[in-house]
Amino acid sequence: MEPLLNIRGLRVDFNLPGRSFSVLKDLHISIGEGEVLALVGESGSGKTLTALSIMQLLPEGAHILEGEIWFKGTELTSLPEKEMRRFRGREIGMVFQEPGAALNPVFSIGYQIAEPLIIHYGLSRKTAMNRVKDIMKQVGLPPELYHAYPHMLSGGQRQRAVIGMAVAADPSLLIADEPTTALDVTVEAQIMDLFVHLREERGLSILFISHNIELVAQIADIIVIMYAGRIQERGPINDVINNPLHPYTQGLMKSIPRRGHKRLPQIPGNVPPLWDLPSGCTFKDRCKERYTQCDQEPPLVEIAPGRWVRCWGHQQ
Amino acid sequence: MNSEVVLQVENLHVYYHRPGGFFSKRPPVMAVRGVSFSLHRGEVLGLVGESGCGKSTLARGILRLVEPHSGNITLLGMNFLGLKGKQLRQARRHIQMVFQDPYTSLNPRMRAGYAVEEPLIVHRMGSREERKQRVREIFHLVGLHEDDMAKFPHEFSGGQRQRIAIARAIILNPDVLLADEPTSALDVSVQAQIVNLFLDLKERFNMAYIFISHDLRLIEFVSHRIAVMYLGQFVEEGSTEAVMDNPLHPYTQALISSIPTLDEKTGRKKIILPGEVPSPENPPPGCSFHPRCPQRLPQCDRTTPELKEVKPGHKVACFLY
Repeated sequence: MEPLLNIRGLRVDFNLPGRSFSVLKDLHISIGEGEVLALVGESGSGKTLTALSIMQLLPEGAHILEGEIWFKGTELTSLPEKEMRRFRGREIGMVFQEPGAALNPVFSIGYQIAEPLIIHYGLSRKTAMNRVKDIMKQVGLPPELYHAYPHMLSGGQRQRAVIGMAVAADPSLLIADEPTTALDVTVEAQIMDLFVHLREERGLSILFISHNIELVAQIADIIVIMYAGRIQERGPINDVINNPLHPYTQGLMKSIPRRGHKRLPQIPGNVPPLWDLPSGCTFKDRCKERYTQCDQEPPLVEIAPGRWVRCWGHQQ
Repeated sequence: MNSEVVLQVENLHVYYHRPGGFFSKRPPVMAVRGVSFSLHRGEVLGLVGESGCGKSTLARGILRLVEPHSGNITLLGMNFLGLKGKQLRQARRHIQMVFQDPYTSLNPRMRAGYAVEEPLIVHRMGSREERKQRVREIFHLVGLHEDDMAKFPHEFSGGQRQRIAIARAIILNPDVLLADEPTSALDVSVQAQIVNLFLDLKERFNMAYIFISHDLRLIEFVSHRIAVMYLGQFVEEGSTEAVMDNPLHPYTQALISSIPTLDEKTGRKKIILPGEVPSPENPPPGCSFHPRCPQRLPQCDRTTPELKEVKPGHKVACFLY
């Protein structure tokens, strides 16, 4: 069966005055119906740009150079802007990190959740109201907040409203980009609970972006580890957690603080800037392993069904 | 552990006055309400709590970056709140702070070497040559290169900048170091390096730390003792083992259960609290936690529980005990 979303060989470059460099390279991702795929990486690893590429909302200076993004039988990168609007909000919903920035301060919460229904389904404000109140209940917002404005809500309530907006038009894919990073731990637990419910009730597919492996482990089926604009490892969540193959994933897993350790096992060095990546394997300067071919970029290979890794140590 | 108390805080209150003019009736925000604890030499006290719980304000109050409203602070036997002018400046040598954001805590126009040397100049310590020598030593200690002394902050990565901030804080050999979310702004793969640096420096100089974070697992890793804050007060305090393995306060229990971990399937039950932390401008009466508490008792909305010792060295502010 065709997956819901299928990204093949995507490459995105940034052209800035005086320099141009790749921010995404050789990206392959597919998400099936009802599947949750987690994209994990540090700042600059390309996770947000992956989301923006799917939505065709890349910032100025960024261009898709290679690859295709297939969504439900349509190739999105070659779609005219006008056609793309049918997909944003209607087919693909998006939740951002900062709920404060995703809401318009001068419109009521209820109206903002209703907007996708008005735009995509042509409902009137009045007829949308009942649907909106149902959605508000589903995302855990009291319907009395229909006429409230964003500043009257707490951080967690705002994120619930943004999730309400994202699922209002009943999309089949939800992209959530660090949706709990701006929230407190106890509120984060509430929002994660909400995502799990939405997935179960609506059969939503979710692309969940985060820097936190332990957080995504609560919801994801598949995990993709990114570093320097490239996928380094991919596999079913339990396989990757219990048996990480890439030295970068291994380092990340080990550096999770645990009591009893005297020191934290650490990855040396710093994340290199994308315009100044080492040649060959992008992780080689920080890697504990060393193979003869590390000066050449390793390909992403499937070493077992569904299990991919980009490292010279795992090429049969 | 050495038993010498280096810092003692008693019943500290820190309030923020809000702008509103002379006739304004707006009451001040009581960000820290009656916090007491003592810190021993070489000890790490982990301070954990959610945003708005007053953990940063407590640190700023201790350093007198915000003047506390009332209470007592004893630093190495000195009445720290009673000090003024030159005496205060001299006493501050013994207590230093590292801030969360290494992007804003360093002056962008100051070379790294000078930023680290500045505290020595302010305290008129050593000759020019001695100071330079000391800066070189400290750069080496925090894992920076001598050539880095001539660089400006923008030439460093986040982790390196935090190393500069740490160098600046420890160059005066302080007895107490306050670290306010020192790794939160850093990349995951760099956080472990900075945490290890803190631990190495503590061993070397036998400093005491107050380590502030919202990340309970990091706190668990670095601390000897943990204090849990909620709306300006300590709700629980005890050894790391006691608080993590046998949390008493319902808030601590919920906090620990909300940490995402990989051993999710081992049957740990998540406690999902209703609502969010109320605004410190208007804390609920009685126990501040009662509106969200799953184990509320009838008296909780009227009377405030005291922080009291219920087991040796383990204190909790809750009527259940």
